[in-house]
Amino acid sequence: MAGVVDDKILGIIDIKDKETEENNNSIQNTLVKEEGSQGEKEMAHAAGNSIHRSGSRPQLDVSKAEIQSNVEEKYPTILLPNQSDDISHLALDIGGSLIKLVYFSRREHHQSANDKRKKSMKERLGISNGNRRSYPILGGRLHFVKFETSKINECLDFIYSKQLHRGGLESRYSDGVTNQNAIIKATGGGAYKFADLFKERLGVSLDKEDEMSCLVAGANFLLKAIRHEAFTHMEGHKEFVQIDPNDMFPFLLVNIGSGVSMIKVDGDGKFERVSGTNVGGGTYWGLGKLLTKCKSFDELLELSQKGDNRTIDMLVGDIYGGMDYNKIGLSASTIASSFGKAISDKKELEDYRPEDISLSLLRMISYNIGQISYLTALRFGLKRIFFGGFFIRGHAYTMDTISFAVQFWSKGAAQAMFLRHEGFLGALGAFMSSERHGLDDLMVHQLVERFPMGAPYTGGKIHGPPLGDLNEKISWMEKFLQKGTEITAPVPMIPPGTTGLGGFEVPLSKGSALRSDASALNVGVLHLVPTLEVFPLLADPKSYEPNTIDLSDHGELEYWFTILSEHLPDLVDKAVASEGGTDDAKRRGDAFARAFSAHLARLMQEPAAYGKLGLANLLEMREECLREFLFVDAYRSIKQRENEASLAVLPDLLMELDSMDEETRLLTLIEGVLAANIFDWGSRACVELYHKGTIIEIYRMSRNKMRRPWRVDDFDAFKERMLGTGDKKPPPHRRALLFVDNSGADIVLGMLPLARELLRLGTEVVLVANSLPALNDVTAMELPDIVAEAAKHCDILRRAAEAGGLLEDAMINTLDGSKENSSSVPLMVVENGCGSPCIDLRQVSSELAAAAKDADLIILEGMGRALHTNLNARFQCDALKLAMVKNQRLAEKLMKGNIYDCICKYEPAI
Amino acid sequence: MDPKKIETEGNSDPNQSGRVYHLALDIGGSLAKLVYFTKKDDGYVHGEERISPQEALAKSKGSRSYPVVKGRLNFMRFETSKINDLLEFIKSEKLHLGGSRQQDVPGNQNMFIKATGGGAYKYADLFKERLGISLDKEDEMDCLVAGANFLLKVVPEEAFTYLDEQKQFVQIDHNDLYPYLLVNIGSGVSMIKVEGAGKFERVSGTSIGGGTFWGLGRLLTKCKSFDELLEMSYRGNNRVIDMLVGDIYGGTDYSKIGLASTAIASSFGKAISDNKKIEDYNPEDIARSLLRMISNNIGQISYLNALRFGLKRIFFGGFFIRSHPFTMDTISVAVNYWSKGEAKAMFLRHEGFLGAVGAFMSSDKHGLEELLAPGNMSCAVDSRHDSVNGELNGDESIECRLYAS
Repeated sequence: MAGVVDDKILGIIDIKDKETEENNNSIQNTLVKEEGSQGEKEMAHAAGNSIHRSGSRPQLDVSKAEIQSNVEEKYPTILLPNQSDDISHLALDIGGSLIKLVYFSRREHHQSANDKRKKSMKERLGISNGNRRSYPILGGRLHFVKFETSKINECLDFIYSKQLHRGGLESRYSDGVTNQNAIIKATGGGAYKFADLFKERLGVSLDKEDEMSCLVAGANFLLKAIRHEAFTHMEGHKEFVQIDPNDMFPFLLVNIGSGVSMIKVDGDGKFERVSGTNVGGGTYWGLGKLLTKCKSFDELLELSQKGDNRTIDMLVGDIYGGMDYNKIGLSASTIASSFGKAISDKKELEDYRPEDISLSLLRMISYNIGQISYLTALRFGLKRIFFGGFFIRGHAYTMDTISFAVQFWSKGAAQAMFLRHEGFLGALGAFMSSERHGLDDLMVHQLVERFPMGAPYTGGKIHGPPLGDLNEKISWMEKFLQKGTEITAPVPMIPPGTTGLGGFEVPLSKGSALRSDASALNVGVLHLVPTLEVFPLLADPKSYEPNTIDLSDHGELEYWFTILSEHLPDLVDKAVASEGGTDDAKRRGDAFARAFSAHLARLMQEPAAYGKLGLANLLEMREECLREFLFVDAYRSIKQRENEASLAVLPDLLMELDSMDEETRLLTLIEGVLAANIFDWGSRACVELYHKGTIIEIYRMSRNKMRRPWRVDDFDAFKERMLGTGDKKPPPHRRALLFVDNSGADIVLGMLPLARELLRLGTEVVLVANSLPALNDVTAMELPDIVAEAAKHCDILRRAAEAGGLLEDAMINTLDGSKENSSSVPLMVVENGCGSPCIDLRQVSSELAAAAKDADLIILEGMGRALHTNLNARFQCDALKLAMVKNQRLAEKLMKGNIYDCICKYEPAI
Repeated sequence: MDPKKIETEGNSDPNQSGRVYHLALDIGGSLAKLVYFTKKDDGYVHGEERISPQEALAKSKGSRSYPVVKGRLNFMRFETSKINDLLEFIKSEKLHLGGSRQQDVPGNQNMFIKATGGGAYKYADLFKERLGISLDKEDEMDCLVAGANFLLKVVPEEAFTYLDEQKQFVQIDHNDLYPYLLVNIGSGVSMIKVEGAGKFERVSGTSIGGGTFWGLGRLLTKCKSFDELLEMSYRGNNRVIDMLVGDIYGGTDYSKIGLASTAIASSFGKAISDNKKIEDYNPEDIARSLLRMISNNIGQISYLNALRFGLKRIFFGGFFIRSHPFTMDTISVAVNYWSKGEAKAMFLRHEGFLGAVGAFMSSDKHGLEELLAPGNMSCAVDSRHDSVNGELNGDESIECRLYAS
C-alpha cells in the first residue's frame, strides 16, 4: 500500500535549508514547482510552509501546535503542524475478513502570491480567474489500505495515529479537534457490527452506507477515473482494456466476497442486484480450512499453486477411460465432477495433498462463478463483466479460471474483466458517498498514480511501526539487504498474510512457485491533480497512445531494463553529488538505487503490475523514485554549468546565423537543434562524448556531420510552409509551442535560436518545459533565467521576452516603459505539468492547455518527447518532430537506422 | 427379438427357465444402473382388459389385435466401485444370456448388451472377460434423452414437483412435451435441451454434482456411502456452517435487495471465522450444508439455462436426487427463487435410470426394442412395484405390457 504514510520530513528540512542558502529566486522556483502539481510538490506546501510532518511512529504529534487565525474566533483552528496528513477524508469497508480503508489527504493550493510568472502568464494567455478556476484548487492523494478484520485494533490505531477520524476540511476548520460527533462513512457488514467499537475508541459514529450502492459507486469511479483499471486475464496473460467513460454502461459487476453478488449497472446510482451465488470466497476459505487446516485465506491460495486437481476431480477422461467425449465437446481433461474422485478411492482426507484439495476447490468455485456470471450477463444482454472482491486478490489462477469459464460458456463471445483496485470497490464507494469528498466530476486526466516504496505492513516475523518517514523507509530497504534478501518488488499492496500497519516481512513474491503473489497488482497512491488537462490539440485524444515502444514485448522490456540498470550507478553518483555528497545523501542514494532496482525487478517479473507499461512510465518512475528519496534535482549543478558554457558561445552562434540568408539559416537552425540534441545525460553514448571536448566543439562537430537527407527528412515540406516557394510568402504561424528537452547546448544553442527565428517571422513562441526536473531536462522554472541571460546579447529575444514577461520573472529590472515600446510578439514559458523525460499529452498542465488554444505550430524536440512518446501522435495543427536518435536499438527498431540518425518529421495540420 | 418368437425361443432355451430377459446398463462414474425386462410366465396375450392411452393410441392405428408381451421392467443399482457385485448379479440371474444375440453370427459367441455411461468404455474388457459379452456402447446423452422421453410419455405419474414437502404429480400432455430442459445430475451435471425424439443438445452443465457431494462429503464426514451421507444431511442444520445474510447484517434482512436473513450468503462461510476444526463440526451439519450448496447451485444454473433457451419445463434426473426430499426441496426452492416463481422444478420417479432405460430402448436390432420404439409399439404400465417407503432404491419394477405393431 503504497504510501500509507507519506511523510517527507527530510524533504521539508531539506528545502528549508535550501531556502536559506539559495537566493530568493530559488525559493520562488520551489514554490512554483509546488504549484506544478505532481507528487512531491506537495511536500513543502500547505498552510504557509509551516507544516512539518511527523517523522516517527503514528501518534498525534502536537509539537509546535499553534492556534491559527484570529483569537476572536470562537473555535480557532488548532494546527498540528507536525501531524502527517493535514486534511483528509476517510471511508471504510468492513468486511468479514478484511477492512478496507480509503482516505484522501488533500492540500489547498493557494495561489502563490509571489508567483509572478504564472500570474502574468495567465493574464497573457487570457485566462481570467473567474472563468477557469474560481475555487481554490484542491489537490491531494487517495490512499488505499487494508487490515484484517480480526485485527481491527490495528485499523483503529492507524486511524487514530493519522487522526483520520477528525479529518475532513470542514471539521478541521470549523469544529477542530473538539468535534465529538465526527462521522465516518462505512459500509460492509462490519459497519454494523463494529459501530460501537468505533464510537468507544475513536468517538466517531459510522455512517452506514448501503453495500451495493458503494460497490457500484466504487466501480464506476475506478472505471471512469483510472486509465488502466480494467484488464483481461487469459492463460496467465494480462491485458489492460481501455474503457470509454462515455460508453461503459451497462455492465455486470460481480463482487466475489464471502458470497457473490451480481449487479447490473446501468449508470451512476442506477443498478440492480440481479443475481448472486452462495458459493463464493467464504466457501473456498471455509471448506479449505476444514479440509486442509490452513491458517489463512492466503495460505490456502498459496497451496493451490502447487496443487494438481486431477488427483481429486473426476475428469471426463476418468469416466471415458482417457478418451474425450467429443460429441458434446468435452475434452478428457475437462472436470466432469469436482471432488468426484474422492468417492471411489479408499483414500481418506489425510491421504490427499492439501495442495490438490485447495486447487480443486479453487477451480470448482471460480469456474462456477464464471459460469453463473456469464449466464446472468447473457440474460440481461450485458457485454461486459467485471469481477471484483477479495476472493480474487490478483490471483492469476483464479482469474484464469473465471476467464476460462466465461470464455468457454460464451464460446468466446464474452470476456471476463478484472479491476486493479478490486478489493476497494466498497470502500471507494463509501468514500464517494460523502458529500464532501471533493472528487466530483473527477476526470481521468486529473489522476496520477504513483507507487512509492516501503509501504508498511505486518503479519510477518518482524514487527514494527509503519514506515512513517524517509528514514524508516531507508532502514527498511537496508533491512532487506541485511537479511540477504533480494527485493524483487516494491512491497505489494496486500502481501499475503498481512495487514496494513507496521512491521515487515520478506515479500513472498519470489520464485516461480509463487506466481500468484507476484501477479498481485500493485495499487498505488492516486494523486489528484485538478490542474491537469488533456492537451487540446491532439487530433484524436481517444485513440492517442503516448508510448511508441510497447514494453509488453519481453525482449524490449529486458533491453530497457538493462539500459536503466547500467545507467543507475552514474545516476546515483550524480544524485548524491547534487545533495552535497553527505552521508545522508549517500544513504538515500543507496536506498534509491535499491528501490528503483526493485521496481525494475518487479516489472520484469510482472510487466503489468502497475498498469499498462510503456517506456515513458518506466522513465517517469525513475524520476519519481528519485524524488521519493528526496533527490529534488540530481543534475542541478551539471545543468547550471552547461547552461553557462552554452550561453557564453551563444552570441557567436547568433552572429553566424544572422549572416546567412533566410533559407540557409532555417536549415542551419534545424541542423543546430538536431546537433545540440546530442547533449543528453540520459544517453550513455552521449555521456561518453562529454569527455571528448567542449560543448561548442561537440556542437559544431555534430552540426557539421549533419548530412541530409536525414533518416526521416521532411525539412523541405517544413521549409515550404515556413518560407514558401518563389515569391509567395506564406503567413507566419500565430503561435508556436516549442516542447524543449535538455538544458545546456540543447536549449541554448538549439531551441532558443529556433525560437528566435520564429519570433523574427512574427510568430508568438511558447517554450514548454518540464514542471519538475527529470535528468538534465530544462525546467520551466529555469527557463526565464536562461532566456534573460540570452536576451542580454540579442534584441529579438530581449523584446520578445519582455513582451512575454519573462524578464520580470527572471527578476531582471527592465527599463520602465520598455514594455510600451515593445512591438515584438511575446516569448513565453509554460510548464508542461510533468516531471518525466517523456510527455503524456493526456495529462498536461492547464497552463499549457490554455497556451495551446491559439497555437498553430507544435515543435516537439528530443528523444523523450518526440520519439519515445508522441512519434505517432497526430495534431490538429502543424507539427514538427525533431530528434537525434542516441540509441542504436531504437534507431534500428523505429526507422531501420543507426545511432545519431536524425528525425525531422513534419506533419501539416489534419 | 421378434415378440412372435419370444415364446418359442424362450421355451427353446433351457437356460432361460421360461423367462425372457432383456438387459441394458448405464455405468456412470459413481453408480452402475441396470434395467432389465422379465416376461411373465403367461407369455404374450391379446389383451383388451385395461386400456391405457397408449393402448388406445396404438389401437386406433389399426383394427387387428396386437401382440402383447406382459412382463416387468426391473431397475437395479450398484456402486461403480463395486462393479464386481454387478457382474455377480448379472451372472447369478443369468441376465446376460438374455441379451440380444448377434444372429448373423452363428455359434452364438457374440453376446451384446446395450450399455452407456463412461463405464461402458472403461469396463468393456472386464465384461468381455468375466461374462463373455460385449458392451454395445450407446451415447450417453442419446440414452438420457430417450429414457426421459420414454418415461415421460409412457409412465403415468412419472413427473412431479416437490415443494414444501409436498409431492405433486404433474400430468404431462404427451403432445406438448417439447421443448424441455433435462438436467441429469450424475457425478457431474449435464443440461440438455430436448426438442423431440432424438432431437436434443447438451447446452450446459456443471462439475458440481453428485460426485462433488459424495466426494467432498466423504472427505469431510468420513461416512461410508452416498446414502449414509444423504441420510445425515437430513438431520443436519446448515446454519452452523453456512454464513447467512443475518450473520453479516446482525440478524437483519438485507431487504433492499430481497435477501432474507436466513438466506445463505456464503456456503461454509462460517467455517472461516472461528477456530473450529473439522472434528468440531457435526457431520450432519456438514452434510446438510454441502447438500444445500450443491442443490441450490444446480437449481440456479438450470434455471438460467432454461431461461436462456426459453424452456418452460425443467426436469431433474440422475442418481444424485434419489427422491431425496431435501435435495428436491432445495432445487425447487432455487428454481422458484431465481425464477421468481415462474418456473418449477420437476422430478422423475425413475430419475436415476434415464440412461439405462434409454440404452434399453436403443436396442434396435433384436428384441423388445421393436415393440418399445415409439410408433412401433407401446407400453402400458399395469402396476408399479415400489420399495416399501415408496421411493426408488434400485429394486423397483414396473409391470407392463409391450405391444407390437
